[in-house]
Amino acid sequence: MSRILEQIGNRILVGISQAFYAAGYFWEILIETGRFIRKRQFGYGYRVLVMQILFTGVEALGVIAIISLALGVVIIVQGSSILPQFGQGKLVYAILITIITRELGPILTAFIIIARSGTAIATELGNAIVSHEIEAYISFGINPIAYLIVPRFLGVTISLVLLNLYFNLFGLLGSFLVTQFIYPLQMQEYLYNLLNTLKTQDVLSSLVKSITFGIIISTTATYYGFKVERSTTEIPQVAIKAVGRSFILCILADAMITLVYYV
Amino acid sequence: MFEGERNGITLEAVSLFGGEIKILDSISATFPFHQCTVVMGFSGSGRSSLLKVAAGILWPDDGVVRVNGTPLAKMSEKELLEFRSQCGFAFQDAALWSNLTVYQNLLLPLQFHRRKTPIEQLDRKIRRILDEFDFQDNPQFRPAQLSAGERKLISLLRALVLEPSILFLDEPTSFLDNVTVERILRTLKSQKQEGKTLIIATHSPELTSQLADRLVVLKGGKIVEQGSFKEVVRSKNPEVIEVISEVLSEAAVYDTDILELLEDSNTE
Repeated sequence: MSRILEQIGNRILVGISQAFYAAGYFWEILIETGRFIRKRQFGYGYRVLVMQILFTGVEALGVIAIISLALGVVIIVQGSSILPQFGQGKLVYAILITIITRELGPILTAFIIIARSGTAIATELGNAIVSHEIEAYISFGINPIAYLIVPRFLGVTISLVLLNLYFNLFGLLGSFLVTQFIYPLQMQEYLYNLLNTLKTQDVLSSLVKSITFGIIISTTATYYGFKVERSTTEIPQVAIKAVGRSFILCILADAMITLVYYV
Repeated sequence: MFEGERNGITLEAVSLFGGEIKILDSISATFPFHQCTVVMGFSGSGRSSLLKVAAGILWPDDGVVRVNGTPLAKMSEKELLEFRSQCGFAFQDAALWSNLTVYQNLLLPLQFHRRKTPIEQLDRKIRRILDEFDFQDNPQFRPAQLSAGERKLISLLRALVLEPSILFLDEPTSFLDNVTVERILRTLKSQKQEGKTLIIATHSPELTSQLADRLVVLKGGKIVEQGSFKEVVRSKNPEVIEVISEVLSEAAVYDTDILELLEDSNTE
């Protein structure tokens, strides 16, 4: 019995120390991000940032477009055919805003980025540790957090905000255009009703969510990437952990932000 | 800043753990400036870790590393950066940045430390150093496209590119052909003549016999002997004799100085 209690106690202590370590790591990222923004970085850092936005943002445009279009089309077609039967035809706009802008836009974009960039970042950093590339940066006085992490932190967060906007554009407007082939609607009426239903609160919560998810994904992926110590076999393990933790943290953050905004 | 009375890097009771394994066990050592110290030991004796701790790349779990008497851990960010700008480290496994080209691997440290120098000047410097070592391949290649020997060479050139005053070299001549080894040996000799500090972990009898002013002998993460080259080689400590004769067994083929000294020490 005492052994079980000892093990539980040890796990709690390890958990607390890891939480403090993670908080310290996040704080260090924030400090270095401040320096980066105040232009104390050198050219290569900006190059890494541009490459990260290209990889996380630009290369994900196709998959985001397909998902958001399909989702928007389904909502419009289903809503416009079912809801008028109950005299609630205009609810389709509220459903569109709730699903696309408030909820699924940010979280689906985050899931796509976790799957694409979260794994890539954790794997890349893990490999860099095993091959002593991080030590090489340190040997020259190049802070790995400033040079490797901050551009990824900013790149993923900026990309997530822009991809969320893109998701909304395609989900709300692109899907309307596609729907015209199946279920013709008046464009003027559609836009008027959509904008009337859309509130500042919806846009703000969507924006806050995408920024929060970007921060969570980049911090979690880099944190676990740096957890690799010496063996390449650790790399897939940390990549899986980075993905799992990012999913959980994003869903929890999503619920909390929704509660703050709408309860 | 790094020139003073206590002229060198000192390690005081430094221990380093890798998980539960003790890699360095309470090591106290001195690496005087303007001299060449060769660290010898069997594979896995902790030589690479010792170099990394002395260079401030790895932080010890216990003990203090001092540069001219100032603990590295107590240096300000600016002081630490200044120290690092005066150090060049060539890694045993090259540790080239895999997402950058050979050219960018050499450019990055220069761009970081010499931000105001025009790019044309940096470019000329890189081209000159590549020519000097007769690097045959395309500098736009990524490290993965190079042979092991070429990667080692570029790692050494990257360590030299800032013209540092302290060079940490971890097995600088392994995987290299004889011509390149000769070239590196010449370069290191001239670096030594210029008063640079060399701290080298090597198995090479050539490098040891031609460059070493001091020897540090490691075994199982502990220092078994350190001192001037002649002192250490003449040591009667059986562990020292074991390490030197085993590590430099090839000396019988390549070089006789060390063996002669070893024989001297055995017959005395």
